[in-house]
Amino acid sequence: MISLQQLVRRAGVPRAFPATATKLAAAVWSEKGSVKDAVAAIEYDQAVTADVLKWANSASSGSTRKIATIREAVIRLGGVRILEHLIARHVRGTMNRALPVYGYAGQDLWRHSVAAGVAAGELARHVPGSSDGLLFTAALLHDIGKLFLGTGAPAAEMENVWRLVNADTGAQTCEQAEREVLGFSHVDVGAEVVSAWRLPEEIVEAIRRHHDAGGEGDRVTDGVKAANFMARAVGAGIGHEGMGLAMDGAVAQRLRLSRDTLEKLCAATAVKFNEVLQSYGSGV
Amino acid sequence: MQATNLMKHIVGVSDMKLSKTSGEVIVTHALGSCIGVAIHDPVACVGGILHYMLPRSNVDPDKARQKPCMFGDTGIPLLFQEAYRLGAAKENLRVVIAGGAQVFAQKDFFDIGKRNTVIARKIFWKNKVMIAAEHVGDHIPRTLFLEIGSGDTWFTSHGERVDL
Repeated sequence: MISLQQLVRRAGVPRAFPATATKLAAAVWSEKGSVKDAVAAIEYDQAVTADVLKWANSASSGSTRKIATIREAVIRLGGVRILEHLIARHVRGTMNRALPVYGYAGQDLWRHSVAAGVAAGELARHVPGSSDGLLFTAALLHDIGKLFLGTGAPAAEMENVWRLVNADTGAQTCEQAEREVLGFSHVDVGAEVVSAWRLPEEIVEAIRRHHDAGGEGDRVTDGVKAANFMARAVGAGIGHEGMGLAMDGAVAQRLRLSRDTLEKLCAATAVKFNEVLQSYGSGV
Repeated sequence: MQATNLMKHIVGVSDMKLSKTSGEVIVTHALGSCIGVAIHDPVACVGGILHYMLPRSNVDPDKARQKPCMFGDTGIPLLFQEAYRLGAAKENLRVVIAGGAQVFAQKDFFDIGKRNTVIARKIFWKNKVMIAAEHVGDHIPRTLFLEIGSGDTWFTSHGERVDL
């Protein structure tokens, strides 16, 4: 049986997290972070500067005025939004591949990740104290472990996973079945990878715990659980597992989500998700 | 054989498509908790599929105005109206629904698959429309197909075809 460490070594950590994004993240997520720090993180990276300015002046940034410098971009759009853009670009390059063992065609994992990121954005507007970018990043990266299991785990063992998921009686979730067959699941792999990228511990924990049932959840973990569910509800990332995921009532209660609110957020997520996909040149 | 030139229409989430060209196939992928409604009139040779995501439009009337196919209670009437516009008659329509997946082993606060199913049944019952066949619930993903003319309706899940 393959171990978690062997799996990650075999697949290799995909494209180390961009140094510029890491610097910007440190400036954005720091309590003492300033506009000056955010600008300094980007302005000497020519490729990123060009990319950010191109995006800042596109329809998808929502800016109505021409933005000529990184300083203007940080002031008008905010460091968090620029960071979200950089992470989304990186994740697209990393996750944009088919994973047949999960029933994911070419863009499905990326689409699910984007839908969860968009759902996190909608949740952040509803849930006070979660609009700091951590939730978006955690939601966007929550299933990155599937990339490694989908490409690195032995095919025979993954077949056993799906046998358990689709059992007529005693069917399990994908995460439970992975754990039973492999001894670990995509959440453990994802946490290991993101930890290697030196992202904040809140993000690592949210990825590690996004399938945990019950327990006291922190805001980011609860948000990722809800965003993951919402992404499935809007039809993104169904794969072989199908719905295979329930919305935990305790999480909904902690996030103060009624059924009506959750439906409204799903509706908003679906519309925004389509807009984001179109900005990348693909519709729902 | 004309079949190779015939269109395959793909219906996205919160969308619908209809056709009156015999042999054309309408398909909607990734039905999880969403519902796919397929209707077909063999006499008028008209059919279509709706893929809705949420049961009730009153949670967000603005979104319902922008995207009526997002909700069951606005999408289903629209699907029928469009079929009538293309020449279908209510008494000839065969109605099939699929989707509404949910996790049976866990308590689900949202219960969206079940509620999506219930709204369809309720609307059809109120309007005296029989559901000819349905395959709903369970956690499985479904892809729903409708062939115009023959009216053949089926879904696939994990590579297996089930006729409805």
